[in-house]
Amino acid sequence: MYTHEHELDSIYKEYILDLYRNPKNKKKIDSPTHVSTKRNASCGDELTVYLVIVDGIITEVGFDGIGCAISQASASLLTEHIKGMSYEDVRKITEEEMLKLLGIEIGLTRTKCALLAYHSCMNALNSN
Amino acid sequence: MNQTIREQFAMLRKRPGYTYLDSGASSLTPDSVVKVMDEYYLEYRANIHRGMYPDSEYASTQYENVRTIVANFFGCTPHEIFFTFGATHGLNMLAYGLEHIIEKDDVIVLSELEHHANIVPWQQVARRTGAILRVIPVDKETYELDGNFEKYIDEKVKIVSVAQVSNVLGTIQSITRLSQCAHSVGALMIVDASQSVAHMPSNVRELQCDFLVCSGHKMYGPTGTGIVYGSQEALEKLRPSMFGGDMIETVEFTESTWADIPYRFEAGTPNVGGIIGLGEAITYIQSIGWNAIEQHEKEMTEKLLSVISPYARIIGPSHSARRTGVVSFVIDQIHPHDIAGFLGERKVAIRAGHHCAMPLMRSCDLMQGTARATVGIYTTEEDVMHLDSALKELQTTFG
Ligand SMILES: Cc1ncc(COP(=O)(O)O)c(C=O)c1O
Repeated sequence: MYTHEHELDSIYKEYILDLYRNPKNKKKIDSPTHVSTKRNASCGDELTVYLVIVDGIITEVGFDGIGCAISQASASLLTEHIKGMSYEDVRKITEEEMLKLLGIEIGLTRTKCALLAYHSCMNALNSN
Repeated sequence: MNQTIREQFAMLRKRPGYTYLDSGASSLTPDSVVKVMDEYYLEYRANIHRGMYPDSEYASTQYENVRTIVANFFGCTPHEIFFTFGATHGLNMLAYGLEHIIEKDDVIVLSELEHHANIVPWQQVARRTGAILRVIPVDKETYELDGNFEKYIDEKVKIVSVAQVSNVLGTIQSITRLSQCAHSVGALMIVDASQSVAHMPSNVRELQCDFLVCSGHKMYGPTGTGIVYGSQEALEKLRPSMFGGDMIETVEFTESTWADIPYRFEAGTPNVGGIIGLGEAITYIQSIGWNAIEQHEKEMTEKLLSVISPYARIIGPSHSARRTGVVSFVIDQIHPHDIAGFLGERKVAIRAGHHCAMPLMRSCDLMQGTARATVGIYTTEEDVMHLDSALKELQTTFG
């Protein structure tokens, strides 16, 4: 039997809204070693991840683009998370881990938003 | 009027405080429609046609009776109606079935506000035949189609296919004039009536169209049902594009002959329970009556427009004349998905995105889409007030 329980939990938690208003690492990096842009045609969102990787370590990271609160918050969280990590460790991050990092229960339709930054980042790793 | 109507929909009766403003995507289903489908499944479940036993006979009669109900609803004869699984299915059948009248360099005319379901099938026909798609543009100030139809519809045109009501802008197109224009050059006129059939009369003789297509699930009927009207003459030109049982007269391994019109367009077992439900949905609309529906929805549309305007930019006419209750809007700095997501958490159901109209979104420079609230017969003033308070909260939270 269908219940409406899942409706109780908001995805618009204070920290999500905070990151939406005051994103972290939202900056274009002028000479990245790795960069990639991903689009989500169904919401018109576009997100670029810039990385500077020196000796296998992520030394600098930034993102820019437009999107909903969910895609913007996940970009902030991901970029914060990978700063200082090794290239190899970042490559190993799974979609599940990204969603866990976001920390909210996300429905099917918003999963694409939640993973936009992740996919840009993974693509960027392969861009050089 | 609406409190009684709300009582007739379990989704509203059982969930006080729930505001459903997404009828443009799919309408809710009244209990009476579910009841006749239940009856079919629980009391006389059988396939139609050729079952020589009472339940099958009865199911066939009920199914065929819906053809008469639909004919009466559209002002045509039952033999000018065939059933599909939805508007998309119907439009694809028309595109495949009319491909043989299209030659290289012929023109198919659409409008800029079409749903993907009325673009992509024609684009594929054009690709296969070497025909050209020509698009009647939308004026970005008035949101009306360029009324100079003659400019677009010339001797090269074989088909004109336009939505009666835009699923993004809510605007009502001048279909009769388009039909006359199409006929003056010998072209066929197709109407995508998906967004109009539940909100205004669609009399095919008045519209003077050759074909009219819609889905059942936007007109208080079940999902998986659709209708195509084709005039007797137009159906003679349409070739079957789905083949199999029930649509044939005789079959040999080398060739087959087709059943009579309209049965040749209903291959295989149709959605029997669904079509029976669809008949009841139309009866339900008729029992309320167009006067009451139009008057009420116009009033709700006005209220919706005036509640949304202070928070947002309306994409579409900001008055209630020559439009239905499909109201698209955008808010600066808030993504349409966040608008709909936030409202959804406050039990206000609206839609967000490109509404399967990417070309229109692109030309309006709205690549993130819009938020869209739509009115149905059950919409009340409380719903609109509920939307108002949710929008206010949205503004405070995201502002
Ligand atoms: C104008 C218009 N045409 C066609 C369709 C397609 O209808 P369906 O998805 O039921 O086939 C829709 C519904 O989304 C619509 O609004």
